[in-house]
Order: sequence, then C-alpha cells, then structure tokens
Amino acid sequence: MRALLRDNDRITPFELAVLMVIVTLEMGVTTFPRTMTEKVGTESWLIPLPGFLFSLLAVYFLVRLSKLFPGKTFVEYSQEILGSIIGKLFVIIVIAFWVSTSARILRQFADVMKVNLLFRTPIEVIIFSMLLFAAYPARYGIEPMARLAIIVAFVTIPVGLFLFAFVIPQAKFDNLLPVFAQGPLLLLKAGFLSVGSLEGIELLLVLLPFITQPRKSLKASTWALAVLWSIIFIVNGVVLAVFGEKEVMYLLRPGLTIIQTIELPTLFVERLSSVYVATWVALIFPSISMFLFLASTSLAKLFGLKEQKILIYPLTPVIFALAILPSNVLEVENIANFLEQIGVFIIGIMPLFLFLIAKIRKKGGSY
Amino acid sequence: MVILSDIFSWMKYSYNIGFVFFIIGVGLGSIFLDANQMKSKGLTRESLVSKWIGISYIVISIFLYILVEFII
Repeated sequence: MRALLRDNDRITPFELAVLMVIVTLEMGVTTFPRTMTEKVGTESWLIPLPGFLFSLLAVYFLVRLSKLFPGKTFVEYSQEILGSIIGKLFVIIVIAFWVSTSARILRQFADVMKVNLLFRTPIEVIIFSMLLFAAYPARYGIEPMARLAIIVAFVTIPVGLFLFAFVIPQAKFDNLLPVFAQGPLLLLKAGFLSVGSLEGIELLLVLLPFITQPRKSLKASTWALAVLWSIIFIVNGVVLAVFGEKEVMYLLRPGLTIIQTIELPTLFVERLSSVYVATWVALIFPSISMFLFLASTSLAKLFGLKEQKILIYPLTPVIFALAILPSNVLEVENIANFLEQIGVFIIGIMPLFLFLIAKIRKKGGSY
Repeated sequence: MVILSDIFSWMKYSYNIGFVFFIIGVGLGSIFLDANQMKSKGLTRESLVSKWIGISYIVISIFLYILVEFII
C-alpha cells in the first residue's frame, strides 16, 4: 500500500494511450464536424484518413526526440536543440497554449452546461467549480490522473457511442457524396490542419519520460491515434449523413445537436442530450487536469523547481480570467480557431523541425 | 491603446469581489499550505517561491480591485 501511494510518477504505455484519447475527446470534438465541413465540404468524413497519417508522423518524431534525449522533456531538449533563448521562448509559447486551451475547454464546457443543464447558474460559478475540482488531481502527479482517465474512458466512451447508435437510422448516406470532387490536395491540407485540434499528442512533449516501458510508447500512441480517429470518423460521418453539408455548417456544435434529434417511439427517457452532456462533464474533467499538470510541470522545469504542485493553484486564476474573457460564443469560437492554428505549429511543425535541427547540430544521443 | 482600453473595460465588467477572494484564497493557500509543505520536505527554494507567489497574488489582487473600483 505504501509503495502504491508513493509510486506516483510513472505510467504504463496503456495508461498513456488512454490519457491521449481522453484528453483529445473534449468539447472540440462536438464542433469538429462543422469546422472540417467548412474546409472541405462533403469530404469532411474522410479527413480522419490523412489526419491519422499526419498525427502518426508527429508522434513518430516526438518519440524519436524522446529517444535522442532519454529522460528529458521538451523543456530540456528544446533548449539544447534551439539554444537557451529560443528554446525558452518555445517552451513559454507551449505553456501559454496549454493554459489558453484549458480556458477554452472550460468556457466551451460552461456554455454547453448553461444551455443544457444549469440554466440559472452563472457561468463564472460553473467555470470556478470545475477548475477547482480539476486542479485537485493535478497536484498529485501523473499516476492518479492516468487511473482517473481509465475509469472515465471505460464509462463515458461506450455511453457516448451507444447514444450515437440511436441516430444512425436517421442517416442519409447520400449526404456523404460527392467524394474527391475538389481533388486530394484539399483533403490532405485539411488533414494536416486537423492535427492542431488533437491536444492529446501534446502529452508526449512532457509525458514520455514518465513511461515505464519507453520502447512501447510509439505502439501505444499509434493505438491511441487509431482509436481517436475512429471515434472522430464515426462522429463526423454520422453527423454529416444526418444533417447534410449545409446544415452542419450552420450548427454551432453538430456533435451535440445530433443527440437532441433522437426521437424513438419506444423511448421512455426524455432529453437524452442531458445524459450526453453528463458524459462530456466526465470527459472534460481529466482534460483540464492534464493541461494543468503539463503547464505546471513545464513551468517548474523551466524555473528549476523540484515540485510542480506549488504552481497548480496559482495557475487557476489565470485560466479563470481567460475563460471568462470572451463575451459571447462567437468570440470563443474565434479563439478556438486561433488556438487550433497554434496547435498545428506545436504538433504538426515543431517536432519535425526540432528533430531535423537536432540531427544537423548533432545534439542528443545515438541516431 | 485600444487593447488597453479593452482590458480595462473587461476588468470593469468581470473583476469583482468574488474574483478577488478567489485570488486571495489561492495566495493564502500558497503561503500557509504549500510553503509549509515544501519546507517540511526540505525544499527551501520551492517554499520561498510559494511564499512569494502567495504574497504577490494577494497584493496584486487588492491593487487591481482598487484600480477597478476607484480609479478606472
């Protein structure tokens, strides 16, 4: 028991994979069908194919970087590769990105909660309570969070997919056509840009040194990506097949609206969307905890502190302020789009760039 | 100048006494809980950092509240 309580700084490759899936499946997935349909129209359901390949490339380079610098996180190796000043600047950008992403997720979550469940509760109260609860596990290290993610994954993902199954009878698969009408290049570009919305990959920047069997981290990450893109494929495809291209583009959260359309004559449970929102609550909780952990761990490493937990609660007012900053849903969506572009830079471009510079400057271990 | 004016108008709208208590609470937690915990673990630097974070949070939150309520 004593060993169990003290061993809180290592996770298995399986736990890493579950964390990657859970962290990515936040509110963004409900808006994903709209943002992708805006980019490529009816072909948006095919984006998971190039998206999987590009995200796999990003994961590959992150794992290679971790092998070049064993036991080091991106905070250390980016300073070794890019030099102290540029490296620190990159680390600060990534930390700011994580803090802003937590705020964005919290705000989107609070907006959905207010519309669907807590009509009279002020948005500040929803954000504040969720933030404090999410900060608590983040103080106790990576292992409790990984266990929490496993429990959440095995409860919420089957429930979410089960609810989606009710929608399939409404699907008109003609809505998925035409395919490749605009050529494959647009699809490839959209697939590359979609990598920016996969926050789960960013875990590898910090978590790879915490893995018990580092050799299995690539395999575990690949499985995580496969599961993740399969879920996105199902959500995207079903949403597009039910609503069609034009309607999807006018819906703020098509992934949520679709659940509100469920109508079955034998169904004795009303307002199924409430059940769906409740599953999202559980999904969002580990995401915010994880981003708090990543930001505090990176900050602690940047300033040479041995404990990250002292930075968790001091980060919460910053996240709270950022979360209540946008005055309406439109502003939240603009911020989300901006963060997605930063995500493309951090995940789509930087791992390859860092790897190439490390190779040219002969930094790190053996090649 | 436009950005500054936006920040001030946002603060006027969102920075209320509840937010001040939240920041002061975080500051007090840093000073009395985290700093002591770090000290008992023998982490002197972390204890000091925690204390300074706490003090600066309390001071800044009160200063901002005075700014929002009486000056802007």
